[in-house]
Amino acid sequence: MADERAGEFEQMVLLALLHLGEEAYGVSVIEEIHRRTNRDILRPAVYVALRRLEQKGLVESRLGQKRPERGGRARKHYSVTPAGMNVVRDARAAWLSMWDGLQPFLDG
Amino acid sequence: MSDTSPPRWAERGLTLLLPEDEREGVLGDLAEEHAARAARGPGADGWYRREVLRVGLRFLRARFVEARRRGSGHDPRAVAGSRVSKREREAVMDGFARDLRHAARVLRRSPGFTVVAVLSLALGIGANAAMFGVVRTLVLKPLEVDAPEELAIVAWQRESTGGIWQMGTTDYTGSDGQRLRSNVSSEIHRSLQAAAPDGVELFSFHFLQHVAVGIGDGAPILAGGLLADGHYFSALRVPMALGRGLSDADDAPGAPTVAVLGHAFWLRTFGGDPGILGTSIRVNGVTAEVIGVTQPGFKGLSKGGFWPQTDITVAMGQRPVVVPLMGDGEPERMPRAMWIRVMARVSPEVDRGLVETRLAEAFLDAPGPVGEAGEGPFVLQLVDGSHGAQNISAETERLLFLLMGVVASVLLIACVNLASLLLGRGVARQREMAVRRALGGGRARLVRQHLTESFLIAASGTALGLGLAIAARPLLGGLLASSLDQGGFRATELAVSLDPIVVLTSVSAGLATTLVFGLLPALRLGKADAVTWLKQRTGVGEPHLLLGRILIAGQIAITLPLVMGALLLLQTVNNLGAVQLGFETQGVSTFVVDPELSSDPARAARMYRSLLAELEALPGVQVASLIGIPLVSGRSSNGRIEVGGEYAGIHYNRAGPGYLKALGIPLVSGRTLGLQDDGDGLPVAVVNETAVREVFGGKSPLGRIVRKGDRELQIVGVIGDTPYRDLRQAIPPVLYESALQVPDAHVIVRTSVPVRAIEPQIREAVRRVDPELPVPEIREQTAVLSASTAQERVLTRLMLLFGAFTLLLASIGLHGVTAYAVERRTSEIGVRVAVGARPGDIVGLVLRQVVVLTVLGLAVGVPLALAGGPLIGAVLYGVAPGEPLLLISAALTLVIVSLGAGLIPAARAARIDALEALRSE
Repeated sequence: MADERAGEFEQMVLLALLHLGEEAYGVSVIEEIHRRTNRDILRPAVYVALRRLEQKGLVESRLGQKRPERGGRARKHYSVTPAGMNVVRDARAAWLSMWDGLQPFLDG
Repeated sequence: MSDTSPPRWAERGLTLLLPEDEREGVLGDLAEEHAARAARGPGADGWYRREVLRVGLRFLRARFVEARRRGSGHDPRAVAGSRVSKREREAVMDGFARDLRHAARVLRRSPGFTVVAVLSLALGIGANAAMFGVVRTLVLKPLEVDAPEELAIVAWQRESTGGIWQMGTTDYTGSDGQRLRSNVSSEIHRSLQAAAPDGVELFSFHFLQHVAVGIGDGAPILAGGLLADGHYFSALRVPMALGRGLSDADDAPGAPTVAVLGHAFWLRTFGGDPGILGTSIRVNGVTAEVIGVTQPGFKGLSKGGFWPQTDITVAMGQRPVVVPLMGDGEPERMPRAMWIRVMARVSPEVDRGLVETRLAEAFLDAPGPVGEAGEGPFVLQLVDGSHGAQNISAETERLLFLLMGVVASVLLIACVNLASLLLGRGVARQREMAVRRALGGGRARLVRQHLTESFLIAASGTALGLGLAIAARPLLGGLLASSLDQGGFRATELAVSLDPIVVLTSVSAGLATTLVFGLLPALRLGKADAVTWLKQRTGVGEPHLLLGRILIAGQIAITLPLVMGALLLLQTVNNLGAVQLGFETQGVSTFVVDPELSSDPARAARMYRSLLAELEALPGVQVASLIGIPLVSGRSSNGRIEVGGEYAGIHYNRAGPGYLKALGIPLVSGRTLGLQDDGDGLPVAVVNETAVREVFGGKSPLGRIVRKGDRELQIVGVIGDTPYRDLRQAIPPVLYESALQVPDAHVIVRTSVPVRAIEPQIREAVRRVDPELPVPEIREQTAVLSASTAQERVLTRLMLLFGAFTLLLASIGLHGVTAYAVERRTSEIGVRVAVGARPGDIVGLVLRQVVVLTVLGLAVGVPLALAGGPLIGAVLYGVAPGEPLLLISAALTLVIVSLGAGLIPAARAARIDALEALRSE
């Protein structure tokens, strides 16, 4: 699984999970990405991304307690696995190295 | 209080689409956000449905792709959501598109076949979708509130309870089939309310047929009303579009008058103005503040939301102000007045049996005649209230299922016809198929081509059918409104739902039937090869022909009951038209001027007097009078009177001065009711001739004193018989009280000019008498009369339409099979002609087959028609469902139509030239 990579949206989801920590589940992930990027997030895209990340082994999930406001259902909490951490770090390194030396363009 | 659970069907649908391990998380997230949105305001349900659609489709695609990857095994990652390769998809789509294009070309080449196939299917599907929509609205669909299955109606019965005064009760059927009633008195209501155990929320209400609603300076308009207690909105969990429902504080004595509007009424009257909250309107002349609007799906507790419509809801505590005169006085003070309906929301954990026992005890503890009456067992039951308080009559339910059966047979016939068309066409194309097979076309390929054609027919037929169903909705709504119309209050918004369930059911019915019936011939054809085709060229007794013939005979068998039904209904409408009326309808009109709507009840009798005087002064008005319940209007009121110590059942009505003159009813003996019979005079009444026979043993009742409830009435006259509730009912004994003594009446005017011509003057006269009286709807008696048979007439028209349509289909099928047979036997016929057969012989030869098929079909159809008779029995009048003369007529009709259909190919056969025929071989 070392060569797993994640697309841009999947990276966003991974980062949102890291920001949220214990509090990460479907609704909070959507809100977090929306809050930080100010983009309208399509709910199905987030669910499918989480599912794909889980199947790739980059994310793991557990069910919390049943809650009345959810019609007696539990929250599905997600967290980033060590493999997922590697992917995030790799991606960051890749981006940073790509950006390296491009500072003048940023300021323009 | 606000209901926060998401739309149930959407949730169930999504559950099916989601992978099992995602359900908990995704559905929970959606439920959580739905709750948050619902708390912020309206629109949460719509948002939920949209999200469900998005998420569902996305996961459906992801699942499809996952399964595919796993199946093909070329991608070990089995990644959700990845795309099907473009090339793969295009290859599949191209093949299908090519098939479709080919099928369309083939179908275009035989437009007659295509039009008949698509139209017949469309009519079958359309009729089924529309009818199913109606049945679903009226019978199957529960109230649109949260957890409707927890709702129950408190219904009770005690044998031999005398002196109870029921106001607008509804009958329910108890668990042992016994008749239960709905209403309780104020005392009983209080006692029940105090005894309700934990987990049981009682709420109560009273339907008001007419409420006058005044907006601004305009004339008041009539609306359907509801008095509801402070628990009604919270216990029923009425979904609100705007504002709030009634609370306990609104229901308290002395509270300011407030009103909640129904959604349709709000749209109709206020154009859906969102600024309506806080505005003042007048309810029966009393100023009330609008505090809320209910959601569109909630139509009140009456079934389907049609009678009475819940346009406006006012607190029950406001009754003395808003409806000051209810019957004879203050129902709250009368232990005998049963006027409150009680329902309960029973939590699922609570034992309903225990609740029933507790409530029964409380019921009997309350002061009043029910608890006092020692005799007869007392029953109190919680009847299913998930469909609201209005009990749809068993008769109406039977009628609906009868129509369901009829439209289902139409669909069946359409499918059978389609199958025989496909089969016949397939046989005709056998040469093409045989050649294709010989050229290497695979069997699967040919079957697929056939199925594509069937699919195209099915899809077009279904789409057209749904279009027809949507177009037919107002028509069906009208039919049902007229048959369910009670109390002369017209249903303006009987919603016939075409919700996803109805559409899905119809679409799958359409596709499934066509594919099954299309597959049959396709499979047979797939077998065709050059050899069998050549063999069959010579053939008599071919299997294709046999199957086709069986289908045709089956079609005739199903058509017979429909034709029979149409004839029975025609006879019924004729019989109803021939009923002796005993009163005149031409030039007579009625309208309601309900003194309950007037703010000053004491003026009622005086108001009537001056109104009659005003009306009679109008040019064109010959007589103006009063009647309690207009004749043949479908309404009825009955009870019993005490005559010389004995009770007798009787129907009630009220009549004003000039009543006999207005309707041309003869006076048999004594005198009529006049202007002098008002509140100051002695209470008097007249009876009809039937009452003399049935109640007074044929002796003159003049001068006799009868007791009705606690009123003593003197009989002063006998008048001629007239039908009472409707034309079917045998004329009952009727007691007419003076409309000036019991003021609750319709005005009758008899005019020498068309009433519409002087309608403005009539309305003006009403306003001169009391400006707070709503401007009435004036109904001509001829229209009332024709409305009373509207159900039968519309049903007859539908049956005639369906009967004629199925006849047409049967004759098309018969024609097809015969024409094909003639074609196959061309050479045989040629030989016969060559050896001296005359044209008459050939025609006879061909028609003999038609007759055999028809007789076979009738042999099955006659028992079918007889078995179906009882279904329609309740609608018939003056004719037995198995009437032999009509059965013979129906059978003859079929024979004639069949012979007509067979005659064209027979004539063609008779023209066959021996030489030509033999040369073509």
